[in-house]
Amino acid sequence: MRDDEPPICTMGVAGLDLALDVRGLTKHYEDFALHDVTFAVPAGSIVGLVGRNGAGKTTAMRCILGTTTPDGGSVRLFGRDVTAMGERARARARERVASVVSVCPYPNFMSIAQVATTWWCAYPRFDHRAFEALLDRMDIMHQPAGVHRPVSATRHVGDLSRGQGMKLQLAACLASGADLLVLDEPTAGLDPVVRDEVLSIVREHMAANPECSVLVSSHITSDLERLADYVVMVDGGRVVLSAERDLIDDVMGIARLRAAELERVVAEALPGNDGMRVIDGLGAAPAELLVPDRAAFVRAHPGMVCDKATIDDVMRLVAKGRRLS
Amino acid sequence: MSRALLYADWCCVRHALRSSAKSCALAMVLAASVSLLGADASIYNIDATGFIGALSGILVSLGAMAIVPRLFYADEQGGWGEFRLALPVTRPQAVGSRFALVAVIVVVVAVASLCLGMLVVLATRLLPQAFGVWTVDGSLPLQATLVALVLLAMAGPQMAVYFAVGVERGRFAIMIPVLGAALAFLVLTRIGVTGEGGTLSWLASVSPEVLVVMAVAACLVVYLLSLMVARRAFARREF
Repeated sequence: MRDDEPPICTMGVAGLDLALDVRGLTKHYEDFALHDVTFAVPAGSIVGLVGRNGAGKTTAMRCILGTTTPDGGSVRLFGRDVTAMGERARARARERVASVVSVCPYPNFMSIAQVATTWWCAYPRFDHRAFEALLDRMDIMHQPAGVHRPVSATRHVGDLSRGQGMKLQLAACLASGADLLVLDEPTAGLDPVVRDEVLSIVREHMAANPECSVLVSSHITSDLERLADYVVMVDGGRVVLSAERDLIDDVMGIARLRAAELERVVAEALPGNDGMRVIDGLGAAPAELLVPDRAAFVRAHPGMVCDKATIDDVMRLVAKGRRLS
Repeated sequence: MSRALLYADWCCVRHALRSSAKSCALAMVLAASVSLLGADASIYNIDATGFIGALSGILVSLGAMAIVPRLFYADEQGGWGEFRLALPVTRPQAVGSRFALVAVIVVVVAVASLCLGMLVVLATRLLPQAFGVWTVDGSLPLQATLVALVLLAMAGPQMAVYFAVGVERGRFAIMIPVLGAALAFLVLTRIGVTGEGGTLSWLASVSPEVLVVMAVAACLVVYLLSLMVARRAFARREF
């Protein structure tokens, strides 16, 4: 998508309680910049932040969590502008926010019990019993010998596998009692079984805590298809799309058209063409057309096939496609 | 200060102390041996002040040199230093907690090493025929305190550098205690404290009590200044 094209925004959050409201977030580095990033996480919902590697997802999350200071814009947590606050007030606001990162950050020498105690010291609502119950629920296996051995509290972080480390992070995060969970690539580098477990745990937590909100970033779009209520897509440091996931699933579509069919669609210049994006086919390969309203497209072009769109399709076409008209 | 960060740093210190216990013990034995044998090569009826002073100095300096870099290396393992800041803590708390912990550890190690030295002296009383009566000068606690404070004053700037640029980029900071000690030695021996016309010759006219107070104050000022510099530098640091 070109920098001068407006983002595709259908995510209506007006009138909703917002756990997180990011407006005009800007951050400049030597070789990368976030430009005017704006999106929101309604209370009780899961927002998936998708984008290519290096799109700016982690940078945006760092600005939200306060580990990086943005150059512009604002971040409102539960209605309060934390970017305008002093450090102490920001830290107090973060008592309602817990985060997970893609690589287990705890030092190798720390034991699981020490990790729990650190979180208990940091979060007033941290629940040790819930933490232990989550570790039990996650049934952390000792790998790769294949012998089932529950992880004891004296086990050190350095002895855990990548999947176990992620589960440990998630257990601490979920037991913190936070109202907003910020999960940065929680399934990156995990095998499909563990990925499924991680996503199930998040879903179960949301079901048990309907007031909890989640911002989860991933470049594995299939994970977000099972989890997210809303999708925000970031590309080249900008938000290029923000939409309800139901809109992508039930309304949007992907039409794969031969060259002649594509020419006919362009020639008809129907009003719906404005929102369409296309990746031209190479050689005999069909062109791919992202259609904002599948039902309307099929009515207008009865002979053409239009399939349901996935987040992956939308991501590809918004990032790499061109506007049809 | 932050309880969470104090606790996390304490976990690192425990790990560092456990893993360096053997090398510390070996260094203590060597230093104690050198100190005891000295010029006389006799251990009968000696003034054990130097022995205990050496023990204390070695332990405190080993402790500071082992612990301070380890705390910062732990930050750079797997993004722990950045992740800590995502907890409900402030950057000044991160700096203050660490400076406070290092100060407490230096004091505790100094006191513990003094106690250990005194225990050794008391133990020699069980074999008077071999050791005679070992005496200890009344200025020992003061000497040990000064040594601990000087080492603390050297650790402060080291930590300020690490907070500013991280331990990888600030690797040179580990030389600060060594360079500081070398510089102090050079000043005292070359320029001279008591030499006629020496730059520091005015110190000869100052009473020992005032000198001690000046030394203590100077060390504390250096440590507190380092804390202030570290807070400002860390506030601007990007991860």
